[in-house]
Amino acid sequence: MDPVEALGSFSSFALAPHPAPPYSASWPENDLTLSPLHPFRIMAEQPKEQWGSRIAIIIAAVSMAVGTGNIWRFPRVAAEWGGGAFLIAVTVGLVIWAIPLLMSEFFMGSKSRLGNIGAFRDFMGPRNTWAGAFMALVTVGIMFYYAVVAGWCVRYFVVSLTGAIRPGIDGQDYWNAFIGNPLETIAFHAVAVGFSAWVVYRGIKGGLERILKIFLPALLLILIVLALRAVTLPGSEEGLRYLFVPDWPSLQSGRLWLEAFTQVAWSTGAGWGLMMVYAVYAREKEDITVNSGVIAFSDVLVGFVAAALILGTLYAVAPSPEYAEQALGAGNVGLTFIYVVELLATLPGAVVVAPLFFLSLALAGLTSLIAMFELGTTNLMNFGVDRRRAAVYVGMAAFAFGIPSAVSITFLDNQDYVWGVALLISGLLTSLAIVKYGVEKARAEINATSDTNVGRWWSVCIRLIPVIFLIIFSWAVYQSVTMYPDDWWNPLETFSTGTMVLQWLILFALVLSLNNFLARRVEAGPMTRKPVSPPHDGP
Amino acid sequence: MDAELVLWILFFVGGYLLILGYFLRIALGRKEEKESDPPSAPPPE
Repeated sequence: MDPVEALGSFSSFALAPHPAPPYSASWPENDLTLSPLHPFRIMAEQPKEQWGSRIAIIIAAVSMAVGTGNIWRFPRVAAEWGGGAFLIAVTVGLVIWAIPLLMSEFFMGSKSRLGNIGAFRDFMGPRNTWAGAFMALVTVGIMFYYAVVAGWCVRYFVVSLTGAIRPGIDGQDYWNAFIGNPLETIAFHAVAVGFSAWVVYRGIKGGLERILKIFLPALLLILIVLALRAVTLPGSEEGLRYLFVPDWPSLQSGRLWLEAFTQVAWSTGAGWGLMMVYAVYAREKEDITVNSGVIAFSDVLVGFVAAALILGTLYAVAPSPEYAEQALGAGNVGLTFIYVVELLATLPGAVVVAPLFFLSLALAGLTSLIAMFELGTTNLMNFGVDRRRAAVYVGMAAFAFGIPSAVSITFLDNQDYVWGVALLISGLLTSLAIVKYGVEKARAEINATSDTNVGRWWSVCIRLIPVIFLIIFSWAVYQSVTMYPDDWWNPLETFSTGTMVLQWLILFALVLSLNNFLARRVEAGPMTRKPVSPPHDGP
Repeated sequence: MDAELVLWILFFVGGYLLILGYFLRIALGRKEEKESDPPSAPPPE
């Protein structure tokens, strides 16, 4: 089961009902004049949904960015890589990678009024429509296994309500018993998929806006309450020291900068294409600069709160410093579902604290999952499928293609690695789309609708992104080669370069072969439609 | 909690809150401004 297979099923049902538009291979780039009888016209004039208010799109975008990674990755990596020194590197990463990319995505979505595939066609020309399909399918590939992870969080929330997380629990045994039971993992995967599909099915205002306006404040409130509780525990100071006090020599480590940039790239949602899709439903004159700033800085602030919670609790309750270090070295899943379970169980008031913690994790996972479902749905809608049907199709695909990850954690790890690194390519493609459109032209248009004018630094960062991409990407490849010095080429190894390159090549081959087809069939947006003059009866 | 730790917490959390507050003030201020915008005056004759 490979995420790339999804396109075949999407395209077959999504594209069938529409007659072929008058497209020819000689269609010049950026000249998408349509005949008055063109089928695009009919679809493009359908009324569009819209976020109810400015605060609604900000809440939706912050919910999209804040995910499980803020809770289980940020604290772990920050403690490991120099605390305050890591936070400085993260701030630099926000300014030169995340914010420029989030702004670019917002701009592309709100100007083209189309999902990723249509936006890339309109910004880079029909010959490069494949880039939008690549971005969309990478995120859809992540959606398949992320639904499984969100299901784990829901499951732990449910069992913690029953009082199962009690002193003396063996986190490892408890985890093994759950993960070794495919019926249970598939059932909770289905719950996460069903809920997200239902929210997207109900539409922007009736579904996403209504749910996210409840979920995000609830998530923030729970995290703040738990963090305040954690930092008042005796001994939590040591955890806060690991988080905030800079270890200055670490700043000279290239690895620290790479970890910080990958954290920023993956956590803020920059390069995922999700912001591009949410911006489709934004009002015409949204303040792109301010909204992107709010998203990026909120995302890291939530990371601070989660880190105070995790590290404060860890250093206050861990039986020994070695145990704490072991927990931080156990990876995202090990830290959360094994060590944190054991630690929460020992806390006074565990019957309340444990459900609240796993509820926050479930809310963070589901709000990001909803954004991924919306991405798939919006892209399908651009091919003329109505929202409700598109949401059902995306739900069915997510359930089916998520099953391999639900039954095999090795498969899930492989998918996380392959499509996680591919997000960097999506970020690169976004910057190239802006370069093709004209960086200064884009900046002028962003400033025209923003209260805060963005300076030349933005243009410099957009042009710098390919360089940053090369550095981070080379590091990712180097890591995988050093992990498997003899087998790095083997596509059957979970984290090998071979598996990554092979799956990307399959995806590239698929989107490139479908390029012209996609360019023709995706509906026209404001950038492709030209005003039709009324019938002319003579002077 | 020693002074050094308190200082760094204030620096990072305070700094981020300040920047976020700045952006949010513009975002929410703009909304209020738009909602309370009087209808545009007729052009002078």
